[in-house]
Amino acid sequence: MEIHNIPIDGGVKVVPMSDVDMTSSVDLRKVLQKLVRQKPKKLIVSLENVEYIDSSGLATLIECMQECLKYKGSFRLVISNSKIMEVFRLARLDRNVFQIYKSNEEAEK
Amino acid sequence: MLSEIVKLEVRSNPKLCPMVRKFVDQCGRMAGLNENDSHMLTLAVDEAFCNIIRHTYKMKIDEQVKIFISVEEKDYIEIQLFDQGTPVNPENIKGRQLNDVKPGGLGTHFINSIMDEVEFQPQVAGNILRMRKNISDPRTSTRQKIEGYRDPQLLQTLLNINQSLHSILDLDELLQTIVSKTKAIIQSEGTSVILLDEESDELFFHTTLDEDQEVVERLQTLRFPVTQGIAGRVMQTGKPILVGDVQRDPDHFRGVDEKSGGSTESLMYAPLKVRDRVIGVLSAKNKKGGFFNEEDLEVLTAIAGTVSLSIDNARAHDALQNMPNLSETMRIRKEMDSARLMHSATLPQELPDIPGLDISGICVPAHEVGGDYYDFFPLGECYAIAIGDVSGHGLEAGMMVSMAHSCLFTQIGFSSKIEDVMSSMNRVVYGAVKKRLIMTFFFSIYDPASRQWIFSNAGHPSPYHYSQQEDKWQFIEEGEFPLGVFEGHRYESYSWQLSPGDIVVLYSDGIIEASNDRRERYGFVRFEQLLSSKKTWNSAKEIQNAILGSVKSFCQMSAPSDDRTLLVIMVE
Repeated sequence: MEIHNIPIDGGVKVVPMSDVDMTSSVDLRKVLQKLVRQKPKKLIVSLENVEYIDSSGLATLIECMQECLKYKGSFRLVISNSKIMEVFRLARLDRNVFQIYKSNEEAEK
Repeated sequence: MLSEIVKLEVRSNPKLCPMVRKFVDQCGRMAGLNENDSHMLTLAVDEAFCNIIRHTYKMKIDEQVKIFISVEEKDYIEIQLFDQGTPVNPENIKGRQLNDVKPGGLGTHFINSIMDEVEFQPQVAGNILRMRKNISDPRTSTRQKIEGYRDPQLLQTLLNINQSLHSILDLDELLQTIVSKTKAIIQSEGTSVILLDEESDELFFHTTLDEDQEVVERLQTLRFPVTQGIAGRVMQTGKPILVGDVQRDPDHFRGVDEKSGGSTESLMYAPLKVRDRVIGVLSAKNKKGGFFNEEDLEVLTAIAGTVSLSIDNARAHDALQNMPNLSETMRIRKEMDSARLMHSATLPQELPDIPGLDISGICVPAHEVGGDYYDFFPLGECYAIAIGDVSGHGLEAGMMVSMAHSCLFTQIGFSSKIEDVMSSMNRVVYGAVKKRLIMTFFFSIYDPASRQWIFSNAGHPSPYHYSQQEDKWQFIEEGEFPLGVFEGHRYESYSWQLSPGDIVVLYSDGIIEASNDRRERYGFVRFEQLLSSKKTWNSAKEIQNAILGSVKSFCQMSAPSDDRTLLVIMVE
């Protein structure tokens, strides 16, 4: 899967360019694991180009968030698509788990 | 009507997932699902397909998977996945523990949440997973209505609040606790408890917590007529209100902003209701970093529902305690009064109208307030019938009953499954037992359509059941020990089929243990004799009056030392 890494103020933004499923979440996991080892202060995963995410995608994000918390980094998600948000809601991950922002601008603040 | 079966045969290769999803999504749309529901259906099938690849085929990518989709237009869409792997024991397929945020099992949780029916059938060679999603089934909407809010963490939070609040009788302390907990949960800039001053018919901000201390001070002096403002509307209708943009709402009482000096953008109000009486409003102002949505309003309403009885209790207690120059005897008497008020607030004000049932219910309180409790309320098409008894008397027992009542109402907002209700009640009573108080509790759900009666009994005296067919009275003995004995115990539920002409009598031990001045107890023998004394009872009320009359004439002059509660249910 095509995944973009964009440097931002105080950290890095990761933008997967297509659906995150059983196959592509492996790619996303590799990218995120590599970044987490550099301990960026802020790590944003923007799902703005993602139309579909499954449980393996969520598991990848949870794992990455847990790694960030260990070194007290800030892990943020950008979710602009209501269908994606619905999947987070179904998993009860829509509140008190992730820091979720509606736009890149808000997340990068 | 469209009725079709579509078949897809694929290899167990994860790279094929996008194609499978496209296929399922198109079938879903064709079957009449909207975009979101079809997306969810797709998620469920994708998760099931991936599970087969991962677990059944252990990542071997050239095994066979067959997917059959049958559509009954406007009715349901059914999906079957066939594999040829080793038959899997369904016991090993477990959903995720929801309070446990760990990867794994999440896919199964998705499948179970999204689909209305899921059935796993191991075959001689291979497995079939059959799943069905209803398209326009009214049952789905009722179920959601009954289950209400789905967030189990919120339920835990509310139950914890409920538990901690019921021991606070000081009104100021109680309201401070409520606003600070609410503010933290809702993530608001400010939270207030607005109460009604019954003498002047004015609303006033009793307790406010705001990021801006000046707002707090100004609101403290603000009073306005109960007919004014959005809070006034909530008082009148008893319904919660969400105002996304306050400045545009004609009902917004501008006095609040002028007076508080703050600028309000988004507001939520939830009624503080004790049964049908609205005693005030819980409000939240401006969501941190955004606007409130419907979900926030649900949460605020749930909190208001949980805390209102505590507020009412503390207010009554406060009013009595603040009377000047009370002697010690008077103080004790006043305490009894507030315990009595607390107790009566938990009892239903009127009997429900349940189709096909004639019901009567009464609680005759003892001189020293006891801890009997009973209730009826509708649950979708069904009705809940509950009876309980806290061991002990006086203020503590009253507070416990009140807490149990709030717990029950908080719980059924999430799930009215009998096992869940019993577990929550057990948890609350267990946590609150520091003074050797325990509680018996009988909880049941009656379905008027099938006359099926499901119940669970935590140590409450066995109900009597009259079967017209067998023409005899007998105990319904199924049940276990009282609440609060073992932490984390799961109470069993049982099912009982009622038929026309049947009678069920629920009672508290105050009836059986009623004693006369020779210290003889009324007992089961007399009770049973009375029930069998008449061939045909005409109404539930007639049975109730006969029992109470019989107990009273047996006891003669002895004052009741315990509450006497009776519920009589006749199937018409």
